[in-house]
Amino acid sequence: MRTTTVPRGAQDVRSQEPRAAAVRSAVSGRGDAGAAVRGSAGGPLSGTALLERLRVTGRARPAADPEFAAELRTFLEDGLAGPIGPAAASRTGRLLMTRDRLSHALACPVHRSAAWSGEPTGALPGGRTGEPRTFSTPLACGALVGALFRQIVAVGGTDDPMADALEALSLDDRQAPLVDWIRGLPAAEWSGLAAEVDRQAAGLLERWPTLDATWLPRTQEMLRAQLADGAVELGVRVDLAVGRPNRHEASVALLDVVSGARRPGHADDRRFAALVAALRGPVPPFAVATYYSRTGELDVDPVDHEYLVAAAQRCLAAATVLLGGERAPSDGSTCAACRPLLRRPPVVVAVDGAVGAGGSTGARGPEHVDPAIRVHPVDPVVAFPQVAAA
Amino acid sequence: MTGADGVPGVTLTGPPSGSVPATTIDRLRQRLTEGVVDAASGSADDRGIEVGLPELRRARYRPDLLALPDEPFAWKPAFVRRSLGIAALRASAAGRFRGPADAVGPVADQAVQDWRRSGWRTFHWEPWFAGLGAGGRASVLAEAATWATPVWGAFDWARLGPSTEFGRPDDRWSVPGSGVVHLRGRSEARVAVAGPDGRPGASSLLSVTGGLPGDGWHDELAFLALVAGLASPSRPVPTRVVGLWPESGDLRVVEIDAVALDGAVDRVVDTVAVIADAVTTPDAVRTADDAAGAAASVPVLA
Repeated sequence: MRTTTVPRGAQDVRSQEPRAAAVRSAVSGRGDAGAAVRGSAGGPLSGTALLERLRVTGRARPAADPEFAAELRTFLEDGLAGPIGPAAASRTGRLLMTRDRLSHALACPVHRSAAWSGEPTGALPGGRTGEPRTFSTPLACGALVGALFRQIVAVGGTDDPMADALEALSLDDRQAPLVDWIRGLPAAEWSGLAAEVDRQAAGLLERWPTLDATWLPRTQEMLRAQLADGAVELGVRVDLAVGRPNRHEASVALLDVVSGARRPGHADDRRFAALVAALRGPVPPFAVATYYSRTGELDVDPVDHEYLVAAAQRCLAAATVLLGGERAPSDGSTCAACRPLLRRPPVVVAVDGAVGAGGSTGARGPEHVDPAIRVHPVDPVVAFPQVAAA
Repeated sequence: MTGADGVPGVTLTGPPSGSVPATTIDRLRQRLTEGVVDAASGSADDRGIEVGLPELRRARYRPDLLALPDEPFAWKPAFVRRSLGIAALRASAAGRFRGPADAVGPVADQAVQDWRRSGWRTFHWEPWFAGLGAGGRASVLAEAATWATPVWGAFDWARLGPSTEFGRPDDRWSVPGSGVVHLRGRSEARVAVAGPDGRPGASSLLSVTGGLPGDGWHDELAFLALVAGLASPSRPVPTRVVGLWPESGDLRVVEIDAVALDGAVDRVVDTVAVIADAVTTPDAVRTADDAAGAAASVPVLA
């Protein structure tokens, strides 16, 4: 059983040189091995330490297990057989499952209704809730930093982060509305966005090591898998895949870059990416990770059978919803991310009896009002009537 | 012999199961000509009908797209990734680089230098690429590296030797008598192999495709061998076509024989009929079910 984990390309190098020297040769230039110990002092990981955190999960890399892979597929396809039946009769369609769709299908009522009814995506915590109809600076920052991460992996640097990222996005037709929106920002917002992009780019440059070509780094790699004779397609695009595919042992790590804060949903995103990769190949990835470019944090999940089964269960639950099946009954509660949205301005009963929102309507301010008469609408069906119809 | 990394039975250079005699090619040529002329009759498109892998797939899976007008061409990274990626594979297989991630930058720079010095555009995109800023160039390089890397990782190219041709010119063959139908076979690599009798001259083809393999993948791969055989009658028909779908991790093989080529002929005739219909009566081609199996052509749920 192996406990030391490095991509195959790194093994090749290691076989020729002492370990430390090998790592230095693979991690040259920025984020070099010499600057790699900051993580031990509690700061963000960088250079070799960052790479080691990704490569060494603390668990043995999964070996190829065709029996488990077949069981995983059978579990999903058996579970989908019921929902697909009536769906196939009513529509000719292939169900495309992405991280966004899974998140939406399984979201709490507030999240689901707000995200899918055309409200600004940026108004909700977390970006991956649906097709963005309007843009926000956090969303723009994410797209720009994503482009910069790709540039840094590909060519190793950037001199003008904002200009480089905007140019990269402008070459992608799908990003044209976002690019237009960014270019139309008022000066103050533009400056704020550019400052944040510059800051995060500096962090990426400082911390991310050069990835050796023999590790086969690929950026924005699309992964797809089919289920049930193509009736369901799972698709995910990862910001970075690294490691030479090996048919006998897990050898690939997948990583997403997030420019915002850590959210619980990112763990679900990682599980889904691991599941798609496991379904498409003979072996799953050995690790799936999220890198937070704002803080330099790196979350790494080692992948094993239990992890993939959990991912499959979640995927099946979402597919059932998306195919028109029964949604698990809601207890009316909301997810932690949505609760702040529901804290509308308190309804204040002023001393003169008038009712207002968002502040006192009388001579006395709300701070003088008995907290007992403040009303916080916490029932999502009341707060968002469209939930009831969903 | 070298093959895909541990994939049972998937090799580019393994011994072929047979060869296609010249008489079979003659018969297929005749059948294809008759079928295509019939299928294309009445087509009002003076530009002609070109049938390559994209057209085969579109006609089967998304015929509704055939009637859409072409968008004005503009360079973008996705249009460069194949040619730059293939050049990176070629340079890496020659031992100049350790892999596509290392190769794409120098290869692109060299192409631009050559163009500036001589005016010769090997890949056509050199002037566009040269005019990009750092962000645009990085996007192009990343796109090409990501395209080429799974291809590089799927086979041990260094062991396949110098006979491997990456990105050779397309095979082209015009259907006689049709006047307007042209076949184009584009593969990403051709690898020389010994024929069934041990003599050199046979070859295998590699085709790299995005997305997922559709239910017509077998005919699509055989199509490449068919066009190669029609375009170069003096060369043996490729004995094997390997298809790689990096996004789904699929690696599939078609051993080329008369049955496989007959399937490809049928597919070409069907495709020409669908394209001719789309050009003549665009409203008639609205759903995928009109032309091909419904299972292969269902739209993605919005």
